[in-house]
Amino acid sequence: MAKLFVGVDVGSVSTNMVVIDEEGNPLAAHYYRNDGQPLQVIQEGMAVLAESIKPATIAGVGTTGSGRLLAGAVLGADLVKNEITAHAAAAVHFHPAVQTILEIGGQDSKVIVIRNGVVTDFAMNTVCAAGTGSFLDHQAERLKIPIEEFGELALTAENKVRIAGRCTVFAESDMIAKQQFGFSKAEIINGLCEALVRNYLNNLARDKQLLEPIVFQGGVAANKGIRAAFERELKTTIIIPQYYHVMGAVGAALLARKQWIRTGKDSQFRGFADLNIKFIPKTFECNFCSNRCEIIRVEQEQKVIAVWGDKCGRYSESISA
Amino acid sequence: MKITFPYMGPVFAYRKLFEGLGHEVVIPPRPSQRTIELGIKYSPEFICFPFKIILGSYLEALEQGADLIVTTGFIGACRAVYYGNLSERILHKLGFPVEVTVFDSPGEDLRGFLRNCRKLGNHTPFPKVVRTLELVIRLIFAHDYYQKKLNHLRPYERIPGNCSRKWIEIQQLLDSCNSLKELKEVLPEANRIIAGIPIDPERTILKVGLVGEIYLVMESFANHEVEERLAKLGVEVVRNQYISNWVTHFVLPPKRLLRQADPYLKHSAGGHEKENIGYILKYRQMGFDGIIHLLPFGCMPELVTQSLIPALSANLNLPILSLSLDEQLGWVNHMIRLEAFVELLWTRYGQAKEKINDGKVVCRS
Repeated sequence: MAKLFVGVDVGSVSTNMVVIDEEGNPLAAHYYRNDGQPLQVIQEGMAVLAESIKPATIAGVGTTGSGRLLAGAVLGADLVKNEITAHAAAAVHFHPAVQTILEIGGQDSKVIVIRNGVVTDFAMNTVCAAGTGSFLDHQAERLKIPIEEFGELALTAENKVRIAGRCTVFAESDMIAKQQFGFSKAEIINGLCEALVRNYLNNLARDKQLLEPIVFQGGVAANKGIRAAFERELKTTIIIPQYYHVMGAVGAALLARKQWIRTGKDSQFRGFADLNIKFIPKTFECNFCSNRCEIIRVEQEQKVIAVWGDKCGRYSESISA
Repeated sequence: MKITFPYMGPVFAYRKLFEGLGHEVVIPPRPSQRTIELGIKYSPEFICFPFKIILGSYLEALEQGADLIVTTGFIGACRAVYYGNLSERILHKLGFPVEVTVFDSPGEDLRGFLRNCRKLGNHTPFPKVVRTLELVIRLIFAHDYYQKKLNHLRPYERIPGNCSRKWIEIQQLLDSCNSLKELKEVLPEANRIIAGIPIDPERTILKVGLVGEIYLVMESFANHEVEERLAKLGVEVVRNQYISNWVTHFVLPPKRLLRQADPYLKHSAGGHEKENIGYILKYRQMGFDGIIHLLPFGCMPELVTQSLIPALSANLNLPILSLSLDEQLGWVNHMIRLEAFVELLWTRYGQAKEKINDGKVVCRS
């Protein structure tokens, strides 16, 4: 039977699932909006995945993204990796010569510097979401443009409009101001794309050498306006990989595959059937010491399957043992 | 009067100092989420994160009946100079009849220093003052010695969290001695505890230097237990910011270390930034794999260091990760950066090994 590897990327806005074969070729890729319920999305997505790949053995499961711990516990993952490593692994797999990765997702953006196929430097946005997908989403909604058409529309702009891009609050009031001066929607959106790119390059990519080839991935890479703005700023062409929207999941699957090749260990994957049983997350404050940690616990049929948040290891160690 | 002080380093030793001088002492509780929330509520919004923690811990100590705060000032440093006076104003405004005694450098204000000494001296006979001081200084050095030892052992421990649990035992042990004789007696016991920690010395580990703003580097609750988290990823964390080090450097400034930083920074901006640059250079010479730099959001001296990091990193061919911490950020966000950074270090380590061993890579996932 064919040996397959599953990668799951639970991000802030979307949950992505990918299946790759033993050679690392993606067989199926799914992109779901979380709508605040990643646990449910994981369960439903895995059910769809199970349908599409029958019959095969799952030889490894990798999870990544901000929800990687939860996904890892729920699925019984073999590998739980941070998204920077996962994104880099996927980009290097499809474009071995890549030297720079621009990644813009729902709530965070990263720049990853690669030399000789290895991560040498990276940066990630901190508190502000000014340069990310959620902000574009919000503005698209406000202007009543479907997010899928957002980028196309930006390309039709005739005149340049400068929008303040430092902060979403200022950007929005600036957009309204420009709108009252009579600029078209297309021009305002194009201005917004340029502001986002300017903000990204000035803050995140500051002090970084952005050498070609440059790969642009993450959900926002679908936006043609942003891509065009990047190409104008960097004066070069930018590669958008085929699986740009699920690269994190591809990376997690590739890393799980790499680990399997190295160790040859059987997967700890819980199995598709077991995923339908309800998972119940609970949270409480531990009063054992002055730390007062907020403990998060996931249960399945009264059995605790994962615990996070305890600084001393009181709860989490009893699980691993 | 009931004395309290900022929560920083070996607080039990400070208690012994003031108790030796015949005062009642309220030890501020180890800062918790509540401490930080209290501090944020009553601090200016843009003051440094350590100030907020310290103010919160003062408030908790005042709740327990403290009415005299003893702290240090030192002219010429950064905003930390004003911590004492600022906290006094805030606490007075809140209606606490508290007194704040700020020790400044005796070189700058000898009279004020002596006046404070006389006040806290409490007519204690001179030989007793000397004995107390010696005990306190030895306790501080013992505390830091064992903490360094445990930081070294932590990545090798067989039972996760063992070193941290033993650390609590050792602190209690040191806290139990009230004289130099008792201290001498407990030291072998502390050594036995350390020797009894099961370790796996064969493990391949990475070495990372921790530099940055002293409070964040020293206090684990403020830096989200960065040392323990890194140890779990197979990294030994070495730092030089300890109270004992601070005392030593106060008496004997580390001239050579500071001179080494000259090519990058000629003059001090008021904090520990020259020292930090000196340590980055030193750790590089010692063959460390990387550096982690911590600063509170908006910390002026450490922003100076941060701005020099790209140049340092390129010249030394040494990965440096700079993290800005404050009350707004949870550890989840930092964990991504820490994990990716450690991954980067492992890859570099593997490549270096490959060159030496001709393909036989020792690497862990």
